[in-house]
Amino acid sequence: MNIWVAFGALVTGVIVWFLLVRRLSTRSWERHGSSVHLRHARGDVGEVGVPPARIALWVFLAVITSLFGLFISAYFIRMGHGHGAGHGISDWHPVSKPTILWFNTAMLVLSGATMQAARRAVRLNDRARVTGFLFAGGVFAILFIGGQLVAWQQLRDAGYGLTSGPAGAFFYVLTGVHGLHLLGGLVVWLKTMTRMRARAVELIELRLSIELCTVYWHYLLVVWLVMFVLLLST
Amino acid sequence: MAYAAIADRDHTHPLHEPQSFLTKYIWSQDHKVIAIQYTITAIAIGLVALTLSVLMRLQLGFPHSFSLIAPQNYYQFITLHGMIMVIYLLTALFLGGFGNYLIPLMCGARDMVFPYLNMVSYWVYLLAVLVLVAGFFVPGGATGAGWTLYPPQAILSGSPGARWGIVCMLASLAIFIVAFTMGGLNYVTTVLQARCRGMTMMRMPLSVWGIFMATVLGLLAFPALFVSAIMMTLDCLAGTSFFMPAVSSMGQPLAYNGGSPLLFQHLFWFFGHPEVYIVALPAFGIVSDLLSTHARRHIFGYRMMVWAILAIGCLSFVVWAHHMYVSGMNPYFGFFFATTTLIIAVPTAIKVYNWVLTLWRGDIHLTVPMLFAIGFIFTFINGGLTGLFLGNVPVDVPLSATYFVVAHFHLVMGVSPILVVFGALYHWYPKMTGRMLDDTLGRIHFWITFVGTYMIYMPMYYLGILGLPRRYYAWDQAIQFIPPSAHTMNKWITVTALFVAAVQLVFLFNLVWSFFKGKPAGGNPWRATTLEWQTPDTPPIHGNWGERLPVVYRWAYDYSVPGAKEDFIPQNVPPDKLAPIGHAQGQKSSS
Repeated sequence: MNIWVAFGALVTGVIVWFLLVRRLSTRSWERHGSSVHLRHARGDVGEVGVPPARIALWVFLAVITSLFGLFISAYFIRMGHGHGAGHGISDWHPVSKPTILWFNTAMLVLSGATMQAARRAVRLNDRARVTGFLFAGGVFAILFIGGQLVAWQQLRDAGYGLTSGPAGAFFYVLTGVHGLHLLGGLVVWLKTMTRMRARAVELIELRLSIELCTVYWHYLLVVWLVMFVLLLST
Repeated sequence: MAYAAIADRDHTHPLHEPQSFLTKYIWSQDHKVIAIQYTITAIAIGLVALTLSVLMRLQLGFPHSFSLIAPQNYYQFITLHGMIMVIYLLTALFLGGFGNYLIPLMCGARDMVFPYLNMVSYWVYLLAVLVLVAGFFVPGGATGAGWTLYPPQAILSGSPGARWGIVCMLASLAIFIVAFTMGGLNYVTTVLQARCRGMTMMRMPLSVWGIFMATVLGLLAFPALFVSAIMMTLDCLAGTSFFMPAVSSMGQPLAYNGGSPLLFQHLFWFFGHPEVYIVALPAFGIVSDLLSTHARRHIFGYRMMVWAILAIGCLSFVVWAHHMYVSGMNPYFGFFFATTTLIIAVPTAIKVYNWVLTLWRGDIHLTVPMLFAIGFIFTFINGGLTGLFLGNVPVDVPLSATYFVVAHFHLVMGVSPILVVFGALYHWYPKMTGRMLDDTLGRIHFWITFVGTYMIYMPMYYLGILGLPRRYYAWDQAIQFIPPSAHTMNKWITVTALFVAAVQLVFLFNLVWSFFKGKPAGGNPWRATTLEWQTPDTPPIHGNWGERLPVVYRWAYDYSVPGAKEDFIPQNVPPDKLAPIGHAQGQKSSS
């Protein structure tokens, strides 16, 4: 199972390599095709290249890829531990999977879809639709987190507490860390919603926030799907 | 936010000068102030670690003479000394300190792209330091598990601080990682997005390259420590068995079952080995700039140096298990990791050759920063060559638990980076404060530190080959085969260590005294080419560059260009401002 750790290292290495080689020759001070006209509250700041916040988000996604990759490789190593370590049988006993997880997955998919719709509506400059979709996206995400908490409760009631065994403990840790990342996203979502409500803020100024929220939402959806498959199959 | 990220939109944009003392020096969002806050905090906690090492040396040199050092205290000192030096001093100082100060100035930016996040990063780091120090005062005291914090012993009642000390340590590490991630996102994004016009990646000074790559390593490697900290905290507080096997403590079987201590080691060293390069790469970068500036000669093989930094960074993720040859892991892994470990010596050797070739026929000025830089080369070679021994499984197995390893890693990742830290402080202090550090005190500091560390660590190699085990509180009665001469040697090491520790006070005195009484430095005392020396004010004021951002026309190493009027051409001097430049252009493009 160490192969998974090596694999994780390889993937992170490739990501770094790709990022570096791509950026090595760029001239960040020059305009890009995809440049955005940014206006800050402090005054017009003019044409910019790739916004720094977008770069920062992608770097951050690389960081949490490393985080979840390591959690998942730890999961595999711990699962395999015990088979060959001399004491015969592994202590890994799969836990029962609460059915509500399917509902939660649907919520997160809907959340990502509505965020995407909000992002599209920004392009149409339709303020009402943006507000509606953005709001719905956040509500679905909150429902997802609520559903995960219900899943924890059901799991505990079924006799799989934190100390019941490694499979149960990993279930709580993985879903917990994922949920915390989504909560962090919701903080940014809340900030964006507050700015949406202020009439003085033009829609175009929120374009970047909405785009980055959407990217982050999609990313966390992918992480959840990987984890969900992992939890169901083991 | 991000008011200075892009060169083109800079000129019309008003800068927001902080007004009060509180916003200017305490809750500051200026990268220079944050850098100095990081530096002072790191040095302060580093002094704690230095004191701990003195206490350890007193115990080792004169066992049973100091009643205040009980065995459990000794283990607490070892643990905290290692953890502080590696993470809270070196990582924070190189990235939070020098990274913060140098990246915007060397790249020609007005500030980091996210100044607010930068400020939060410092305060969260300070919180991590405070939680770490709090570990000394909780019931049971600080953890004594060794800096690697291996389970199961880290949370078994036989170890000091097994209940609250270890929790403080893990919490502090987690907080530190949050702080580092906030800072790291800033450093990476600033390097990628906020460089001034003309500053291509391949024109960046190697200091920025080293800090940049180290930050990338940190961003990808610290999550491993984060993962292990979370799971170990749960093992400790909630009773899970991620790492804890079925085990008895004090004759009582505990509730743990089936966990894998080896999993912790893999996670820890997946962070731990890149961590070595998180400390080393900024040192590599900074020392390249020091050598080039003070030898008045362009860095030899700039492109090769950049690619070596990148190669070392990538390879550092596939060598971690060479710390685990004696852990009982599958021996076949040892073969794989020994191979990768030896491969990493290739780019490292390239860097060493290039440093030496930079000096070759240079106009070497033996200034204090230069002394430290040359001292670094010697020390790094000495420490690094023994790494080749230890990278091989059959040599490592007998040596792993001895003082040979102590000497190796102290020279290669303790003393070497610290020498660069000192050199860099002597080099950039004039820019930070506007005054030179005192030269004589600097030379005293260098020679005693440099010679002293050799007197400390060279004998340790011999002690290690004799078989003197590390991590022991006392061995005089326990181990019969150690000859009495080893004890004499230990006394000698301790006495030298006291001297070397004491001379650091001279350095501290120099820092404070020169701040008030030092010789005024002027804008560019070392006649250097990089952008930070071309600021309109010294020390640079908020916003760094006055009205217009600099524009870069050349690489950072135009020293002693044939035909040029002076022996250095700053990066922001346009070609038409030069006298007939002769070979300068050709030299630049061919390098």
